[in-house]
Amino acid sequence: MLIQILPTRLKSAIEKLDINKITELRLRVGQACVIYYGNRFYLGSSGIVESKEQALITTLQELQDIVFSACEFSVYAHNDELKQGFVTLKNGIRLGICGEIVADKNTVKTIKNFSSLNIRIPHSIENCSLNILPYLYDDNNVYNTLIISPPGAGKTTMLRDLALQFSKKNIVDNILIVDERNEIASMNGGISQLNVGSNVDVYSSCSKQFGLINGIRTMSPQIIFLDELATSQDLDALDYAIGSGVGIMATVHSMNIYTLQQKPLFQNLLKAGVFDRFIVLSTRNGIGTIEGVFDKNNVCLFLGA
Amino acid sequence: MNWVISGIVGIMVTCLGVYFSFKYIKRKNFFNALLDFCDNLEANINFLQNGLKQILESYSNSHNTELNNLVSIMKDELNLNNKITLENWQNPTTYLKPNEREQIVSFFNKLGMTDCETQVNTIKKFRAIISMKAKNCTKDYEMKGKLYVNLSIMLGVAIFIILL
Repeated sequence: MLIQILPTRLKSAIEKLDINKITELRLRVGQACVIYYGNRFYLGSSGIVESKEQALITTLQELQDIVFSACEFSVYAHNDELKQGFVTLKNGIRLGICGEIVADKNTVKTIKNFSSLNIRIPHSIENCSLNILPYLYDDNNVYNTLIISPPGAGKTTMLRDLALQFSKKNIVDNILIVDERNEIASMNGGISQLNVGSNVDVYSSCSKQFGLINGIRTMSPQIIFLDELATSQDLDALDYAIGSGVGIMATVHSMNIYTLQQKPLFQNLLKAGVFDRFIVLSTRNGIGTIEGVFDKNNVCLFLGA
Repeated sequence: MNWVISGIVGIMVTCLGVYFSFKYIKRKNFFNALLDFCDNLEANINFLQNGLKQILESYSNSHNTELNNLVSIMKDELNLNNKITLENWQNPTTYLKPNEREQIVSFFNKLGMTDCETQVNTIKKFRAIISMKAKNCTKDYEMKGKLYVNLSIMLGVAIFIILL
């Protein structure tokens, strides 16, 4: 699917690489193509190159063609996603899009004159959560858990594997995933493109507010998985879910617990002790490095390598 | 024998006139079919928000093979991730002027490129131009098309009489 949306020049360069090892591709108009292939490299016509001078330079036309192809030649049909700055492909590949925002009375209508793209390729890494799984539940219940990490450190991959392990081990019978950007399960035609387990129901491409409130009413989940808490509306919906007695597994962008505590939006939530467990990830030893699992009193229960 | 030769020549001249008048009928039919295509597009984009490929797949105009041909080329080019060009719109319709063909190709290439509102505006503007052309074609057919037919009939009869 990545190959299908790329213009000829980039396509032939990517084809020389192992697509399964690519995690991210960053394209900026008039700038060298950057590829995350284990580490950060440049993309040249012969594949990976280390110097900027040998790298392919992205053109405006190429960028527009990629977005057009990613939107299945129908930008209008993907405008709701585009307004939020991304388009998700059928297999979960997400295009983050930057450009000129067209707004009318504080409402974003669309994005035009695209200037840069961040193409992220999801990878299902089964069993990556096995080491920390025992700290997230006991005989009676599953702990409300928050996964904390900077962008690109494997939050979504960890969340996906946790959903899978909860299903596999029959820890919970009914799990609901609220997949706002269609990255966790990558639903396509009602079928999940990434393995999230058999006990899972998925609301895809919907807001967290809708997913949480309606999901609790209609699907009766015991635990809800959701990615990237970021707004006060997300936290309001989270409040409703927790008040309803449903367990929560969520992720948030932050370096660690201390930096999260500095964010005004999260201060009340943390003070209220809503979350029982905090998993901190980083890229220290590569993507998905587990720094530790902490309880609500900041006591370290598991320390990563 | 003279009767037969005169008759054949007279009929051939008449047919030639009718052939010339067909150009106007074909133009009129093509632009009317294009108007129908625009209406179909607008409804699909504005209300149903179907993808462009799906819209093109489901579109077929039983009255106009030229438009079907154009839609089919567009579908093929989209599948190849390409744009439609004047060169790959083969069997160019002789009844369309070069600037009209350019306008149509340019319109087809704008499809799917923007948000819903801009698409609808683009379709409406193009529809207004085509609608004007369709009206002019009807007028042209009424005036010139019928004139060609009448003149050729008269000429055919005159040749028939002269040869006799």
